[in-house]
Amino acid sequence: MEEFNNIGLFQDYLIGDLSPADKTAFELRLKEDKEFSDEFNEFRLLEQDIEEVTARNEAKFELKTKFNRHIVVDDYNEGDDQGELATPASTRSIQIRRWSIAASVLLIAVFSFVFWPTKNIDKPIAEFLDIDSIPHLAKNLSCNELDSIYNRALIDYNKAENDLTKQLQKNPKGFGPLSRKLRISRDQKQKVLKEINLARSQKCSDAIPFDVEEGFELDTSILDIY
Amino acid sequence: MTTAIQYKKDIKDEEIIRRIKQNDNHVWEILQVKYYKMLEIFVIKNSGSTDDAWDNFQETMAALFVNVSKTNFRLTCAFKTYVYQINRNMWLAELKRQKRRPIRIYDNEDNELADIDTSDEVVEKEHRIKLVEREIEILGENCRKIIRLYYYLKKSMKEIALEIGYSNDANAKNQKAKCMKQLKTKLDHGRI
Repeated sequence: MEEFNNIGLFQDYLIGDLSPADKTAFELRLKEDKEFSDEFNEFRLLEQDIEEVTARNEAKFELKTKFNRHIVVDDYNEGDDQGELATPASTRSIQIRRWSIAASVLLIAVFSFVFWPTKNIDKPIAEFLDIDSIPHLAKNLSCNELDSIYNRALIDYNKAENDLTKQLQKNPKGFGPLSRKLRISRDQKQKVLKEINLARSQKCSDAIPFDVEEGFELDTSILDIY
Repeated sequence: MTTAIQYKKDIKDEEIIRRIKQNDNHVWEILQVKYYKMLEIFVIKNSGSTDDAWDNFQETMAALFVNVSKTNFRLTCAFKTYVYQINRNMWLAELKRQKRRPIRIYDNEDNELADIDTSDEVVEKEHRIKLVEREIEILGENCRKIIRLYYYLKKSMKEIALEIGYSNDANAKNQKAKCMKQLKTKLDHGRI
């Protein structure tokens, strides 16, 4: 971190206020004095950042009225073109026949989830996936599919966590029916997320062991309310 | 029959870029229709809320506007990837600013986004810009004015002196140097 001791000189040089002799001396010093040249480069970098910041601020001001949060947006089918998920339906049905009826029923739930992305955003995975069935389900799914389910469960959990945090900010004691409902919902989603993560880490060699509390940087004061 | 929404979804990238350059009023709605969901999913997957996603989207659009408006702007990847990349860097820089370091980054599962630049440098640059923005916000009013007049409106020192009421351009120059030094000191303290 340079101190900017020569800031007046830098400004004069950049504005073009130095005499020809001073300009030559300045440029020679840039070549020969590393500390001076580092300081100058840092000053230029700061100027570029300031230019970017001021331009973006103006743009933000100008665009402020151009967006509408309630506008209908396009669905984004994340994962539609992913490896096994993109297998033709006929191949999938052959695979499904090999499985037990119970696993097939579970798979229907999973495939509905996999093709969920945004249309059923209000239906968390925990609502249609029984936690006890996850280990059995994991045996019949690929790592890609487990990753998709995991990502979805992660989104659900983050949403539930945010909803609870907001409610507790409004009502710090957190004893009302809404706080209780949100806490139950968050806990349910956390359990599902942990269970999917466990199944995923047991099956897939590249899965990273993941601690939910640490991973999401939970505010432990929220947990103390229980 | 093509509906308005279908039209917005199907509009070509070149057309969007052309409209951004022309500062067309409707292009922003088109961008929101086409890309908002993709950008929101990235933020939510990476410890953000829907409100964070909305704020980040607006920051992304401002940066997009500035970049595309530059005369030397050249697109080196698909436009969708470019928009995703800005949103991604912006959100990771915001997490860094809040000292919330993600254990793992969850990118969208989308083969079209396979060539994004995941290097730390791009996030680092965005982080630096966020810090500079925050420190400028808390400078004194005159410093903020000088910075805006000089770096955004490209006014000369003489014009700045007239506008703010300094007796001559040398005073304006001295004042600007003081503001820059103050900003630098604040940034250095913020980084410690």
